[in-house]
Amino acid sequence: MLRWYPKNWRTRYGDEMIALLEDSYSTGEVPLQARFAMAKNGIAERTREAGLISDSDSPIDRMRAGSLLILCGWAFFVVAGSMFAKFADGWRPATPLADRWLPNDGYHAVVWGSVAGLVLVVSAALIVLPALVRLVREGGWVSIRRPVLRAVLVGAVAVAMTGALVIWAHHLSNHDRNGGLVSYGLFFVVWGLATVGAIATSTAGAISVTRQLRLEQRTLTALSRLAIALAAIMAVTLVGTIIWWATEAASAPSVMSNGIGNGIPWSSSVHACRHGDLSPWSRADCERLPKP
Amino acid sequence: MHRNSATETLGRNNEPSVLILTSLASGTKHGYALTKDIEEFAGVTLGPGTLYGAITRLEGRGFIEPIASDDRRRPYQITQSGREALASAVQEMRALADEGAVRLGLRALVQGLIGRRVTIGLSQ
Repeated sequence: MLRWYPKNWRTRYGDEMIALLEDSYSTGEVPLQARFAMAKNGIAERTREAGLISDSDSPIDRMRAGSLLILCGWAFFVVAGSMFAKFADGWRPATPLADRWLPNDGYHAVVWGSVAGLVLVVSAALIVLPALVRLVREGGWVSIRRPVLRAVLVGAVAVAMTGALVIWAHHLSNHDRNGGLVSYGLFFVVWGLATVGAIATSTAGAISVTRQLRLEQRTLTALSRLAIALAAIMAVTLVGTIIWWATEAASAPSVMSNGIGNGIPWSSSVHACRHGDLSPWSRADCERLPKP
Repeated sequence: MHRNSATETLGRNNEPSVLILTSLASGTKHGYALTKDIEEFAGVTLGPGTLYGAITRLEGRGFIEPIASDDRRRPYQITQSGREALASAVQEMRALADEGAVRLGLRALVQGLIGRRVTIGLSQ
């Protein structure tokens, strides 16, 4: 159970916690509620150690932590957005013209939200750039070298794989690209993992670097405002995705079996349920489907 | 909602930080002794995760400190800044209780509180 907590915390409080567990639960059985609370607190400690939560009284520390937390949220949105882009590939021709306006608006909200979010993240990076240059000039490179090099390395691998994937895809037929060629499918999955890894390491790198920077109050205020705007954009993007998803499921269920959704059992079940296919397998899945 | 400094620092009156400081105000205790004491005076059972989450934050803020011990059951004591933070939180709670009692027309309770305050004031 202590594995939920970061290593530094375990070194400091681990023995005490074990003694408390022994005293509190002499039977050796720790109740589920206590296990859940420990998991929750362990994750909170890890988040705190990563600088995404701050207990400090200083508003500067809180602003920095809040901004970094929203940056993390944005990284998740980028991953989810990439999957959405693949999933929604070619949805327009499959949707009846009369039913297209609402999913179209949802889709546009996602696209423009992504663009606006990217602009905000780049703006934030530019705002902290002078502080980063100052840190490096003052000999702070050693403290940020590891996360930066890791992010650059994983990013370079992801970019190289993207290039290879594009070249390979160019020489394949539509059928081969969409499940016909197993080796391509496997490479696509590995590429996806590498891309997620690149996003994760670059976000972790940005967090590590930002924690080391000495930022002025004015810069932090600007960062906080950008972070709030980014959170609002994420909310709009989420609403756009839900609108697109719900309206497409209603008017063009065949889109639900597109792209990466192909291999997901429940996406075909949406289709099956919509078309009244009540074979035992489909029926079982229809019962498992979440309510819209 | 704007919260004033003591509440912002320690949280609301039933939060683990306040309960732990209250318990330690009467003497040093280790983790298990803290949970038992808090159970007794507040009727709240703090799980190990919640207790040590609060201990971590309180120690980080310098409100409590561990006492050197060979035992794994390391005792903690309240520091001077911890006492000040608790005193501030208690005063805020008392002000709220007074106001609530006045608005509810519980004069006897208000009288009792005033009497206790005088007694405490005299004893200091």
